[in-house]
Amino acid sequence: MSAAALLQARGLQAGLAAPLFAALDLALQAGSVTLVSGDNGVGKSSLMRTLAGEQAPFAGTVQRAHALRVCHFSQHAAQLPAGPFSVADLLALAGMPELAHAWVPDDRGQRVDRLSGGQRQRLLLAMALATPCDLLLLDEPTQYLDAASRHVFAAWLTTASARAGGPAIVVVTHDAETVESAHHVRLQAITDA
Amino acid sequence: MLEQLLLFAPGFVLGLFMSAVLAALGVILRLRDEALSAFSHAQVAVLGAMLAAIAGWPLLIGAWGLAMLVAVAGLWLIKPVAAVASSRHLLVLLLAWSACLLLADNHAQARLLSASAVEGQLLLVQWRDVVAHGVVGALGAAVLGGVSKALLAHQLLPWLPGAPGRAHALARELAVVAILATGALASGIFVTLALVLIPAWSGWASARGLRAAVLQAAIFGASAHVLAFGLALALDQVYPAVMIVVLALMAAAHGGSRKWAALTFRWGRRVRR
Repeated sequence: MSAAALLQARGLQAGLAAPLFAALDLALQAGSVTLVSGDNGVGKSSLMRTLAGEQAPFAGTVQRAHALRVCHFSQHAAQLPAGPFSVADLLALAGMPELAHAWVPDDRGQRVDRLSGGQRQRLLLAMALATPCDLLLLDEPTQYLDAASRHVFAAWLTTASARAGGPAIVVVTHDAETVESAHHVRLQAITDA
Repeated sequence: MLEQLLLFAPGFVLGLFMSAVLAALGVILRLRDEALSAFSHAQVAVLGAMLAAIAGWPLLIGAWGLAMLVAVAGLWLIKPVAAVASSRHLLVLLLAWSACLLLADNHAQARLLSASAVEGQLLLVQWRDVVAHGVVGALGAAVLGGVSKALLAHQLLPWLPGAPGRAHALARELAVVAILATGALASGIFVTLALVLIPAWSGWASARGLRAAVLQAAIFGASAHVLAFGLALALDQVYPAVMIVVLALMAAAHGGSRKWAALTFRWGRRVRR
């Protein structure tokens, strides 16, 4: 593994019964931002699960730094079960009761199941971005967000990519052009490859 | 009247405590969609108490012991037969119920316990039972309070780093089983089930947050017990039946008052326009 890499993948292919995309080499350094794009079904979410260690690679190797703290915000993360959870409850459960962010509703006593899908996504994304971790994996984090919120997220990514020493960030997104300084990876389906 | 009150005071106190604890537990079980497990754990606890009665052991030891053994090992053993957790609980419920019937049919001691498992033993308990049940119930509630935060955080926010270990899940399961076994022996299987289900249903849609939902359910359960215990004594009726009717009526009144408040609010807005 190269000196500062938190995670290094060589010849990586993900998939359960068959490889979904052509072999991929990745080296994720602290403070780096990597944007992953590709057609539907090419295996972007499988790649994220494999990087998170939730799924074994179909082929190739993934080496992680010792005691790597991984935060994997999947595309289903905003689908919370209905129940009597307030915004304050969720923040307390995540260990960030005082989190101050424009995306956290002012009324923290409000029930989360009364928020719209977009508001819920923004709240959870704000929490994920504030979570202390070494590797932050965000799988289509902006899919329910309005244009203004997408801009805010892109600005946050630009700032994060310019900051040294933060977590390595990998984002599956279809707005790949929004952060110029990021490293871009386009997954290629096996048939295309 | 005073004499009667003193005679039934231990049962009243134990029932009050267990009603609040079981109702609060109902919210936690519902959060994980595991309310059905209450029925299976309670039935296994009764089977354990029956076996203990036949062996001449203390009933509580049998109830807790078997319920915990089945929760830890039994559910795992039947995993190949039923992959979904609710199916496993249903299978265990049916097996435990069949075993209870067989024991009741073949042993006089077990037959006596079979009747009290339905009716509960609140009117028969002594102060020493209150202490024994109370200590286990309080310990179970304390353990549950300690491990629930990490487990709930992982359930709702699975992307957070640092998933809780198996020890957390095991401690939670044992605490839940201990509370349910205690409840089943004290209040009977059906009152235990009603206390786990009805107060949690009632406050689910209206509570402002998790703590409010738990507190609301506990107050709901305790209030129902006070009313039902008094009514059962005054009308000389069996406590479990009165308790379940009171719980259902209170839930209907709570739901009705919310609907009435919503209707009044809408009507008021229309008049103002």
